[in-house]
Amino acid sequence: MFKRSCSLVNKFIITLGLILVAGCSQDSNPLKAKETDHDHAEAAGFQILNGSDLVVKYEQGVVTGALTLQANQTSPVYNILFIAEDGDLFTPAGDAHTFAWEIANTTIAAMIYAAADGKWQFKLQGVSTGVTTITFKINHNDHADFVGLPVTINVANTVPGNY
Amino acid sequence: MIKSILKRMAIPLTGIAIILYLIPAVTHAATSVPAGNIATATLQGQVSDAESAETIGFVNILVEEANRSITCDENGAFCLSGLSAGEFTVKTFRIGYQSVVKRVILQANNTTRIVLTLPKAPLLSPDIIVEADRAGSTSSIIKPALLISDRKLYQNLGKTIAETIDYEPGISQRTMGPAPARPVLRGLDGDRLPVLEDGQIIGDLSATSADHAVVIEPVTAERIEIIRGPQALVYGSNTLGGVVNVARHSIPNSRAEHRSGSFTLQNETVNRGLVAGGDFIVPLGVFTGRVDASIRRAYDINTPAGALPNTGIATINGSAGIGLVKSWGNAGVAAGAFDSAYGIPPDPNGGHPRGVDIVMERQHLESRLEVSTDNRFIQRLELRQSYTSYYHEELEANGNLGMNFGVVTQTGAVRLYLQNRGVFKNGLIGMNGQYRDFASGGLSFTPAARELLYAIYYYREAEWRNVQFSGALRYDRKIITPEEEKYSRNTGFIRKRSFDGYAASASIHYLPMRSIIISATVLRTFRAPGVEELFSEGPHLAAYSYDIGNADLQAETGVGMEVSTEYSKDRNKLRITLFRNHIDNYLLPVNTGEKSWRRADLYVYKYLGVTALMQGIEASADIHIYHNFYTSWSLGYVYGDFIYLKKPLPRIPPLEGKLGLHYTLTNFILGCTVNIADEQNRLGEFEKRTAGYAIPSLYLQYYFSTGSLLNTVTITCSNFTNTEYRQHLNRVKEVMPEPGRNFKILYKVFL
Repeated sequence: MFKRSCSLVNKFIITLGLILVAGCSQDSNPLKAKETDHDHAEAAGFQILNGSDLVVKYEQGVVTGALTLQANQTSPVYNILFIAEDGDLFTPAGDAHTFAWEIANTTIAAMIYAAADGKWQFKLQGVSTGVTTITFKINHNDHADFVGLPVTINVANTVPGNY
Repeated sequence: MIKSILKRMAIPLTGIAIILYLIPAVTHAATSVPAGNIATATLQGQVSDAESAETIGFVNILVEEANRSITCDENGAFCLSGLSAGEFTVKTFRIGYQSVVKRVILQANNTTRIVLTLPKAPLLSPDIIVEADRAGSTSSIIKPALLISDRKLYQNLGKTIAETIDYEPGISQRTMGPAPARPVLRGLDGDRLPVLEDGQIIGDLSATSADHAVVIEPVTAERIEIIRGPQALVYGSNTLGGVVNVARHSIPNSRAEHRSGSFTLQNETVNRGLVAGGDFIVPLGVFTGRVDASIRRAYDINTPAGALPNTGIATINGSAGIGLVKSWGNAGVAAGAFDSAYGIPPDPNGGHPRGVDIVMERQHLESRLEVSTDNRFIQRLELRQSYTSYYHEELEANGNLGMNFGVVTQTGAVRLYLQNRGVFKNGLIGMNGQYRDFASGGLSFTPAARELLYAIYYYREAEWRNVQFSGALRYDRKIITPEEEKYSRNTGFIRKRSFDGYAASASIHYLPMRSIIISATVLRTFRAPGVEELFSEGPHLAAYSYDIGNADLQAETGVGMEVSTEYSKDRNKLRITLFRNHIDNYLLPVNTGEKSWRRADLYVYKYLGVTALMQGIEASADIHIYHNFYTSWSLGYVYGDFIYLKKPLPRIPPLEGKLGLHYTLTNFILGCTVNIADEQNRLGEFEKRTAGYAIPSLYLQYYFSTGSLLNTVTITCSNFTNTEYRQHLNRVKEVMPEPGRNFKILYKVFL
């Protein structure tokens, strides 16, 4: 009986060992079987530029500046550059990253964007006088890699200064 | 090269290994000659009604120390063979009847016959009647476990394990919508209150975040046990809150003498929910087979303030197992799968106005071998193994992936059950090994990592006259290795970490007289941080947070104390418990109040370790008022503080309780209960106050036999006044209150 018990225990341990070896592999993780793209845009802020002039900056959780428009007028072309954790400016590379936004009240301002004109460029249209906000995002395939704090858009009948 | 071949052939290899394991076992078992066998004992018996003397069918008989159970036939007869000789505790479970505990002494090569007489059970609590054993000792009732089965299980059966046991004193549930609910005991949750299935780790992520559901479907559970004190250390070193074990017996460990099973159907109106499930046990020659399956569907939940959007659930799960029981012991294997999809309601701070969907799947394979011995010191040897593969995705309302997780968990355990010697009983020495492969994806900066855990433990009971003592010691070592070592501005230096620690517990129970038990327990626990607490970084959409780990966290150690007094006489029972849990380096994610730079729509939650104290009181009573009328009540209160900061701990439930009035008549029980809670204004940072409430419910239970079938019907109307109320531990309480009026009908038939 003792020998039979040992034989059964030995068979169990061998079986257990086979299962453990088969299971202890990176490929056995169900996520790794699905995951293909780990390249995230590691933005922690952004700058919005009108030519070489800095209009709005979002860095270390603080927004400075605002976007100012005239009603029924189109803004100049803005460029958006992202700020990495180490402070470097960059635009996300590759086709997997796309520019996205959300305007809180589209009866005040609207986005004019065409990727063909420049993937990280945009214009705004003043629709009616008022104040609203716009939130800029970087989308990566099917999720958002970056969501910034809302930036204020002021739309007035007249705007001081020249475009 | 060999390893790469094995990787590709993992599944077929596992199947071949199982066949290789079973064929010789069958050959030995089927052809071996009884001579020279281990001397085993057989327990036979008959169950009858204490008042009418009629036989009672479909009673579940549990031989506790052997962890063997069987359901008697429709005539109340049962037979359990292949048991070791010795002294055992036999317990019964049957709806409509009180559980009976009887001590029996089994002799080798002998059949012991017993007659169990069960009184009717009108009371809410799982009454346990102790029958004096042959030696006259009555100490066998002293087990630090709370059992939820039969009538109570069917009455409270919910969508989750947490909802099902929420009505016990000291137990609350952490929720984030109806699906991702997890039990909280005395303010302790997560890893400090592991949820197991058949004593095994389930390998999900429910302990790490409020939006992650437990991958156990309660409808096919046989019973739910809450184990505390020294016994809990057998399952882990971090069990300061205890262990919740869902017993399903996926691997049959008793030979079925006849076909049996059950089927359950439940409908509830509050979310147009429907669940169907069943299990079936069949003798297959020398083997016993068991299968179970269930399917659940529910839509958005209704509250007095309107429907809570995106709270539907769809779940399907099943398992199959086969066991062999012979004179040398038993062996078996089981496999199962669980698939679920559920919704998380919209973010109250507007980050996800249409909520988040979670899709999860789990597959598992487990095996067990138990061998009896005739050794002087060792009664039997048990080997267990489990393999679990878990995956879940968190999807935004437009279908975009937020995060996904993959976890592979492998465990192996060896236990030596010790012979009873003199005053020492029910001892065991065990060793566990666990391997865990964790990975996250989508927008996640949490590195993949592997965990290795080794543990060795010892448990023993001793009994002398009217005093029972139990104690346990445990040592754990945990090693966490990230895929890549690197420095992170937020998390710190991500590197290999290792943790060592010990846990210990002792309990003493004193019976100054038959109707009174005085108990005291002390417990020292050790909990190493996990991958998520150390290295996580990234948005967690479904939890409305941006999680940041702390690579420098140290292990958590807790010291718990508990004293209780229980009085029981005739059909009356009263129990009072005082407890105190002091935790050094209590690890928890703290809302910093700041928005993430990367995801400014989410608040940053950072893991910290602080010194915490949780203390409180629990009380419960069941009282026979008059004829067939009974009353029950329970109360639980936890006072939680950050000791040195002199601030309240977050997510601590308020004073909660339950009052009940019950009427029983033959096979019929009617009752009214009121769940009460005080306001919670002891709040953590950024927590909101919750008002108190009193929620009445009605229930009716009826059981009847038709031919060889036992049928039970439970009708419940919870919150029948449709009162609007909020639970303090509900993460979405700001969005919507708790469910409104709900009619539930449960039908269960035993075959």
